[in-house]
Amino acid sequence: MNVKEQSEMRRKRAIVIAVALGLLGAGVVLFSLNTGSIRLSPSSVMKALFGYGSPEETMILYEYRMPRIIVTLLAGVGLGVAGAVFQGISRNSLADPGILGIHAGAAFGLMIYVSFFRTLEGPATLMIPLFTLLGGTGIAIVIFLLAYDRYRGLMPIRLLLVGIAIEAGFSSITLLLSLRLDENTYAFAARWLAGNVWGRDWIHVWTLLPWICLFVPLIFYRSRLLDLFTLGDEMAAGLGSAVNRNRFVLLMFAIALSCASVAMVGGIGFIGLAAPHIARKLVGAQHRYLLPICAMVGLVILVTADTIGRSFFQPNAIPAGVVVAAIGGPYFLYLLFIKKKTSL
Amino acid sequence: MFMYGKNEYLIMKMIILIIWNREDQYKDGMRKMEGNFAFVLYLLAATAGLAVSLFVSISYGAKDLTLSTVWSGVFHYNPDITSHQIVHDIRLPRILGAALVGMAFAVAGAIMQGVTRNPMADTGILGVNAGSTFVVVLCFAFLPNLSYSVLIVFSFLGAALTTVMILALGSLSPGRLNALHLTIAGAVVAAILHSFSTGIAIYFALSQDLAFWYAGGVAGVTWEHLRVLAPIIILAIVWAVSMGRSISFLSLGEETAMNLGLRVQYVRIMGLTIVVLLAGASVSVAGAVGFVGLIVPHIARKLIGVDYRKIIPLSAILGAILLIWADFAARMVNPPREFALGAMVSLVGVPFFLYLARKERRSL
Amino acid sequence: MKSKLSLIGVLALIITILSACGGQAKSNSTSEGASAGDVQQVDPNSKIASMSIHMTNNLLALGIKPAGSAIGGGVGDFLPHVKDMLQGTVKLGVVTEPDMEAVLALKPDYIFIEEQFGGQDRAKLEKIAPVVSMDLDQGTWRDQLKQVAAVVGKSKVADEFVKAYDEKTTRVRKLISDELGSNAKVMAIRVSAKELRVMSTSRPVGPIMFEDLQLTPAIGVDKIAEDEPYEVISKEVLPDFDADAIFLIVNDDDNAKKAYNELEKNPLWENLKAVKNNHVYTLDGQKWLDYSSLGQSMAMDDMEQLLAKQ
Repeated sequence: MNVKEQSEMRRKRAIVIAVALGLLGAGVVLFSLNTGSIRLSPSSVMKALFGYGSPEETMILYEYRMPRIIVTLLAGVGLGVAGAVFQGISRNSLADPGILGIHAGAAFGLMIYVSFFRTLEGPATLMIPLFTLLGGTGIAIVIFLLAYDRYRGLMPIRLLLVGIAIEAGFSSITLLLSLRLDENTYAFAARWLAGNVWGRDWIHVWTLLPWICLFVPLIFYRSRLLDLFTLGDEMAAGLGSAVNRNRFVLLMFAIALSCASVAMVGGIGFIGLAAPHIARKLVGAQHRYLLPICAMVGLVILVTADTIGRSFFQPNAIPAGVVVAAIGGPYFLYLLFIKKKTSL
Repeated sequence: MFMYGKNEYLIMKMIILIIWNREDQYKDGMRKMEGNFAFVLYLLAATAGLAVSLFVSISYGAKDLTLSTVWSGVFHYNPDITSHQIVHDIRLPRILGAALVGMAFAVAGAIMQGVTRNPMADTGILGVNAGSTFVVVLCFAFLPNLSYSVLIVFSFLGAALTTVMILALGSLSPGRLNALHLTIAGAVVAAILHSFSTGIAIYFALSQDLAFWYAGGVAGVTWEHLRVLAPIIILAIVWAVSMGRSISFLSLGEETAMNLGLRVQYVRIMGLTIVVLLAGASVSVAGAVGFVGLIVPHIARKLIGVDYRKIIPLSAILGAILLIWADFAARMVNPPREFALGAMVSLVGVPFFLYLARKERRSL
Repeated sequence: MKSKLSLIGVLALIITILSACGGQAKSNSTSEGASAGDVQQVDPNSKIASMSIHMTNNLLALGIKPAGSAIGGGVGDFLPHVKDMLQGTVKLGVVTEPDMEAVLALKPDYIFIEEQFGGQDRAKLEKIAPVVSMDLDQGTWRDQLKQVAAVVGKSKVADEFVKAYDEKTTRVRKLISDELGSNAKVMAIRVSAKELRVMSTSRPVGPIMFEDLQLTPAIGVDKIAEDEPYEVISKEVLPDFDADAIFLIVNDDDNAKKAYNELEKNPLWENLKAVKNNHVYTLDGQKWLDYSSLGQSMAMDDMEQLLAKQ
């Protein structure tokens, strides 16, 4: 079999899997649209979806349920793709956005916000994404600066060590601040930190959409670069790519993606780790196929988790992040240990 | 959410282990294995440091007392004098508690790092803390009004069960049970249990209670606690020191250890038993005080090399000193107000750790 | 190249669909939905949905049981001390995450919200029923109660409520001075799992203790910063407060109760003036920490009972 045939095979396989995942995603979204305090029959959901429902049904569907689901699926895409980029550039299948302390930074940003404003009502809420973004990128920059060596450039081992320390430090300040909150605010913060989809309005969709629409394609255009990084720095440099500059650019894109997503759905850790893993099992390591599949896997996982958290646990809905870890964790263990091939 | 970032934190530690294993970091450490003289010197210096720390932290507190009052309160306790009560019933138990808990976490961390061959390991990594917290959360949710002693037993049980589970899971993987599989299994199981705890806490509206449980602190330590805690911790540390040789061998790598005639699995299981004892006992009194178990063995290793017969006792004393000062800072930054102990440990620990990381010369 | 083009195509499609959805939602909002406007008068017998726990408590104080009410985020339920009064009331979610579908299903006549309520959520509520919005952050609980009462036409009930509270206060003040003598110095302490908090002279417990009951703050209580509800303090300085009586709140969780049991056994605690004279009053925390008309009134009842028992 020659190379061309092989790549053709791979392409076909990727398309088949993409279609399958697309159907699965559509199914999950439809199921999620049927989830809520008011019982709507699937047929009335369908009717409302295409504009033939009663005004009330249309309102439930388009103003209560739809924005939330779209926020969830966008964030799933963002987290999945960001995870793939982090793993690609670090050549480490266990890397995820948490490595740069982004989640800890975002959490810190949120705590600063709630401690400072002491309110979660009113127009100030729209500032939450801003604070998490600042916290996330701020902490990433601090870690970068501390890990940067004038002569050797960015040293991965130092990056990880500094990352641990800074993250632990910020986490403890976050914990400290959280003890000072009153019960209601604390409850919101705790849910956010555990990964709760709180974006539930069209305005949240409009806030998140540009980030996803901008950075996902930008990253996709660089999928060949990611393939090169997987081969190792020397190989990449040999094949004529400005290694450090490109790595930095890709890293920035991924940080932006995951910060924006985290702002809307809280600190969900496992998706960035698990989605690329699953995608790699499905279509192999070539980023041209890996990235879109990763996005779809992230989408399916997050929407499913959010739906389960809301529908099975009433009245205190469980944050999606908890469901993701509860399902994704054992699956991950299965991948690592029970299946005979360990890919570490 | 209690300690947010736990998952990421654990995952990072796994990666470090993977990178670390590519090189044999212990090679140059081997040379330091000799040099008993230096060890005795460091041990003496550390003990002197501990004595000074105890003296200073007992002498000063939120309530301004003269030195003579303080020390007559310590040595000639008269239960009718208020100032004596302050020293004897509040300051003394809490400082001794800080010292004991510091020792326990530091030694547990040292053993963890030796047994898993992971320089970033601490009691969090094999799900010891996550396991005990998970069971404690279950108790809060389903069996409220448990007495304190029963809760401690449950918390031990959780830690032990989780450790067993991780050992079993690690053995399931292809090939033999090795440090890498152990660490990864530990980190993922910890992450899962952690999120279960969060879920239960949120569903049953317990979360802020648990945040306090997590924050760590020794302000509430009493003589009664100490009477239970001290024997367990001291015996476990003595046991740990007696196992120091085996742990050193294990830390050199499994092959080496087996060539040296070591029963690897036995040492590993005994080591983890000590860790469960130490961590379970101190978590039940002071909550999960992070960072001590990570940072102190690091310092000890920098000072005297890789021989765990030396690392363990030195870590114990350094751990005690670190927590005494962290608690002192928590009390004295703005008296009589108090701050959370965990935050103080991080404030001291993080800059120091950064300094260590900056000095890390390796470039992968 | 082909894949790039198709990608852009897909993206464009997604954006169009999304904008269509958003657009549709917006066009709906203009075509139907009840007009909001400024509601001045509400029939107290109508179906009311209250989107704030403070609002609910004020309504309850006026003898109005809302058909639906927000729940407390910390407990994930109605607040324990008012739960009995809210039997049959529909839960409408936590204030930060209101369950819009539950509100819609309830079909309320009016929705009561606080002024600070989120903008988008408010717009959604306005489509369900007329929204009555009040600023409950300003003024004392008396002002807040009167503000709510004015809207539901129950100003008289509010006046009676305040009058009853004042009468109760006078009774309790007398009971206290009988028990402690006049000019007794008092402090309030809250015990949680890891901390000992001394409550300040500001809300939630400051006003009832030091203004209504006219107690004298123990030494150092008035030094706690005004904008802080409490300060975490070392046990070592407890004797320095030299309090004649201690109002005690123990958090409602096992660890806090254990922490208090330990504290009780401590000789330093046993030797405090207030403890020796048996002047420690364990309060029903939920009532005292709830700075609303209903909460404060219940706290006063709690105090009266505690003193009557002695």
